[in-house]
Amino acid sequence: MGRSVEYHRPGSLAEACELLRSLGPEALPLAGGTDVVVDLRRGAMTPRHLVSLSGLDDLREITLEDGQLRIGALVTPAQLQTSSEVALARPELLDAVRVFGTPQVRNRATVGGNLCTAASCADFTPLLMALGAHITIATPEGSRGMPLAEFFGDHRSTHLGPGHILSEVIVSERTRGEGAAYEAFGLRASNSITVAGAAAHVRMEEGRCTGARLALGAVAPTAFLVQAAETALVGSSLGDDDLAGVGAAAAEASAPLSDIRGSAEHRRELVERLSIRALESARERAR
Amino acid sequence: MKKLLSLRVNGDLAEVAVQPDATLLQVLRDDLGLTGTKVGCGSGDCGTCTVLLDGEPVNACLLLALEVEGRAIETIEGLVDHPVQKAFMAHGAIQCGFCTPGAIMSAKALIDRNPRPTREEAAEAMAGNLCRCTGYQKILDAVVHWDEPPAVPEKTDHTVVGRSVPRIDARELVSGRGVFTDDIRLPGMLYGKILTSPHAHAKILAIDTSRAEALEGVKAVITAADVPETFYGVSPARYDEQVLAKDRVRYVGDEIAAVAAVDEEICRRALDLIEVEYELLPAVFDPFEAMDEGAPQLHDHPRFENNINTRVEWHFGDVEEGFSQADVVREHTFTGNRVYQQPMEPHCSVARWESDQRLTMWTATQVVHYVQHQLARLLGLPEGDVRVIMTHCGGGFGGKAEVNPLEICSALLSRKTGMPVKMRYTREEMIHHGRGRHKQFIKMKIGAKKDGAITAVHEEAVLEGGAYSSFGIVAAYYAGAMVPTLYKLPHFRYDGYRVYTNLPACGAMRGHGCPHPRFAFEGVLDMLAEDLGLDPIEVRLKNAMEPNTRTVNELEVGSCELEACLEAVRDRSGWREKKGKLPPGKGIGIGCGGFVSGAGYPIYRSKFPHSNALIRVTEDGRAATLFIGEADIGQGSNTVLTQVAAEAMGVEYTAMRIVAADTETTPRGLGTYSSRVTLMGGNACRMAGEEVRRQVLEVASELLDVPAEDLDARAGQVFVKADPVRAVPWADAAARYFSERGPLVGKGWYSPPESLGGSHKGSTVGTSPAYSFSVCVAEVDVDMETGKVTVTKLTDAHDVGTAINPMAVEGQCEGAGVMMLSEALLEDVVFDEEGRIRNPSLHDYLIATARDAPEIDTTVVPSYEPRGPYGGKECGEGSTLPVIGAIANAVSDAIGVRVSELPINPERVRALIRQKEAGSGSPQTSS
Repeated sequence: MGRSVEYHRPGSLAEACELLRSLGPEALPLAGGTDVVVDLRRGAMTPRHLVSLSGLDDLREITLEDGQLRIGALVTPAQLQTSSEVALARPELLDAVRVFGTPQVRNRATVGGNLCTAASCADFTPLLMALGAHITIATPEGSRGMPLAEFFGDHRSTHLGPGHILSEVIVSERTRGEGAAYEAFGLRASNSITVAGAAAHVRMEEGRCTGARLALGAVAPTAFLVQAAETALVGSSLGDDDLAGVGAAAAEASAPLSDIRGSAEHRRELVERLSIRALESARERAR
Repeated sequence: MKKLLSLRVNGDLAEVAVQPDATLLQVLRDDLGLTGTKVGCGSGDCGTCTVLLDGEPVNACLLLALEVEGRAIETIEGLVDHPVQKAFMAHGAIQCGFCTPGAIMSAKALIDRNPRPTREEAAEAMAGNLCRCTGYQKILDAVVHWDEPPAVPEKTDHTVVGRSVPRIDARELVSGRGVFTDDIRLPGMLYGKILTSPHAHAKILAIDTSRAEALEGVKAVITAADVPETFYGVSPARYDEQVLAKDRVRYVGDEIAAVAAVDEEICRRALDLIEVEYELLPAVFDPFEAMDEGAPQLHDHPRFENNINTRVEWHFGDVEEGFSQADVVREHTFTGNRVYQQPMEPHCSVARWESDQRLTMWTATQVVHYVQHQLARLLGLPEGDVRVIMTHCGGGFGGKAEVNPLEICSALLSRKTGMPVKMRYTREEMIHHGRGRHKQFIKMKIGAKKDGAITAVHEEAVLEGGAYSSFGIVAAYYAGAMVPTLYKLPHFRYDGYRVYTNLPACGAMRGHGCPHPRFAFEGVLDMLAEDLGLDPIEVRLKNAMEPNTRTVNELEVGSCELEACLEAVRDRSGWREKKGKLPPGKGIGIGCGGFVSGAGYPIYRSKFPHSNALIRVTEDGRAATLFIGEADIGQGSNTVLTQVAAEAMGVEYTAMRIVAADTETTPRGLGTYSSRVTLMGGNACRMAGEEVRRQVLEVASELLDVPAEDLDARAGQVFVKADPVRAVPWADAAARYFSERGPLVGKGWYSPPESLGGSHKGSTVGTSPAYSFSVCVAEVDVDMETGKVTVTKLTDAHDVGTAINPMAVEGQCEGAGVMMLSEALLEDVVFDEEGRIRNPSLHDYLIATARDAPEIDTTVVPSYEPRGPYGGKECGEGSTLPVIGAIANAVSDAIGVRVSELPINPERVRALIRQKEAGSGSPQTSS
């Protein structure tokens, strides 16, 4: 990698936004670095400036207030694993933590980084989408919120503009009658990139489904919500046939690639099964 | 521009000026000299660089150093006699030791927060620390039982042999003080890098190095014009490689030029400035296409017509007659996978051209002598002017068993610059270099009588060889030679083809040539058993090799306890309760294997003994140093050989020291390949030790006034056999020897029996003084919907003769189990249509983690090999050979369809299940 890179470590979010905007496209924000450092060393990224976010301690917090679980963008998977707020408000998040990288990577990677890298196989993305997460984006002009589902562009791109930093993710606290689950398929027992993933969220009231979301990962250029799932499931009793139908719809809606981890055909087959399994777990947890 | 960084490392404040893009790993190793933290992949996949950041494990390679400003870092050097370090030593959790520092840091962090981890919690915590040697069993034992002494297996009629002593270098390795080649830094040392071909097949029309030479910091650039025009390789009959490509490149990765510069970054930039003009040639990647008329030819020599590098035609007995006697004949086709050794340590060498024009080379090699031999040939020096020193070696598995381009180029660059030169592969470069397991395409045909007795075997194997010979000629012969050693085959025919393709050369890998034929053979045997309505174990017992047999291909099997191994796994696995009684998706399967205990003949023709040992007793008589040329690459030979020497001398194991694998100070040994060291090195050590013992007894005889033949020595005492109370300390007798007669030394050597093997072409391959036998039962759980296979248990049994160090033997067997599980389920080097590797990293080429490792129940059956030291023979390779067959048979059992292709990945399993559901699939029994 080149020698000309310059390192910056702003002390506040506002400063970081300003810096990123003034440095322009040659600047790369650096969070946990578990992807970026590899790309830098391979020469796959050659920024002139690295803007380290490591000085932004506010972004490492997890808070639970008024039924909203706010996860700072620099929160690590390891932090989620031991957080009492997460255990109380959204234990389902641990489904993604469990399949995430190695223990070492879980100590460094960040939730924000996982989202902003915008890899279609990122494990937090489908789960947070299914949970209906919102994100907060800090800009030099101030902060604004948006649904996570609207955050992604095409493959590996987001709607972050110049000087924008994803600062937090917000999910609502779990309430009675709802449940969520994430099923990821990897080739080995630990530390494998997700070949296909499905996250489901359902809400049940008096035996009827009143809300449902299914999001898929690694089977299209970005993670996405299967719109047909909500239509098919709301009003149903979430019977096995209902779930099977949604599984088929999920396979239909996916547009996977063939690569060394699996063919498009296998991924489509997998995502059908994983969708059903995620829905089954979510249904179970909703009880 | 560099920035000043201050951080706390192991409690001390450190201030370093660092480049903004420097990683913590670079700063620790290069600036602070803390080389206990290792470089295994550079991409956060292997965990060898694990350090603690404010108490939590992180990959130092993924952290920019500036990010840890003001924070506390703990490295292996910060731990001194920590209970986890002690547990790793006592439990045998260390083999090569390269992953050890990182693993200890992860383990320490775990027990700091959870002092009583369950095995699952331990496996989860260690899942980011890859280990290729141990199979994780003993690592997890050490983590879970970190504050308890281990229950080590011990069974011995001797004093030292048969005891599970920890590795002789355990303390060095757990402390991070063991020096691996990449840890060496010499004054004025330069770095070197190699430019390799981006094309699979091309002519080189011109090379312009002028811009690279002009780059500041570059000290030398070499191309074919600077290197001797000598072909080299492994087997003299197949020398087909040149140091740097002269006019043609034959695979993506073929070496073209090399540079030396003040650092690696400048080397890389210099490589980018070398201009090579190519004329592309058609390439061929498929071995069957390569043999077709009109296919692009890789080598012009007429002996390699149709790209056939090696052709084996063996016919022992009369297979047609054998098949005509059979009640059932089965034939099936199997496809293997291209698998790489992936030791945790990438290759590295440091060359120093001395002022007297001699060369000193430090290298991570399995074979110091062969490296010396080839370097002397290539450099035009007498062997005595080439000193090759093996440092600690972070695993080899065959990948470091031949001279490599780093060794040759670092020597040439050091000669040219007059400075020491270090060259090391990145993980990616190492994968491109190749030399892994040949992918084999095998047609296996077996005939049997109604009672299961095999009447004839015909094996046809095509080995995808890659662009050069490497060890391929041997692989092609081994693929057939070892087949008749396990079962009594009256008639055997083998047709082998090792074929050149425009891919990285395949070489020697643990089990050399045999895993795929075993996968095929064990598969067909199960098909026959089903046809005949016989239990698979019964069929194997019916045909099992017996002791003192001359096989149909004229190999001499001495000790053989295959039957005992079969019975042991049948009983311990609960086979009778499970086979045929498991629900769909669950399966059980068996496989057998075995290997040579050292090749009967050397790689190049010679008459000298294969293994040689010297022992020098310290002048005070209280310690003894063994000098031996064999290489401990993690398998534990330095420990086993000193055990043998101590036993033979009659001293305590704690008296032993060792100097190994240094061509200047140790007598020649052929090195670590073909599982030769325990038997051959062990015999040499025993002989040397017995010579020392004789001399000590002579002096003791004077002291005790008893004839020497009435004396014996054990555990540091010399005593009268008939009256053991009458004794003198061994050390006193030895010290007196020195005072009266000068240095107390012993020498020993070993040559295999001269008569080994028949007279047919290629009859030397497969010969050995002794053979090991192994059996494995695998139990699997198949997710029928996703196709994912989980191996839930391996039950294995081994005939290794006397287990000289039972803990080390277990470690080898467990490591073999997990490595082969990994090969069976996960591993394959995949190429694109241009011959480029699609998965050249540990991110994309997956190997088993601690969480993939199943429970393993290992039994070592009683056995004694008369040709081995104290009855010992090999265990490192034979133990790998039953595993793939066992797993494939278990998966076939679980899904009801025959598995015939490796790796057995989810996609393949699903395809088989779909075929079966559609009714078009071959049921288990069809051919």
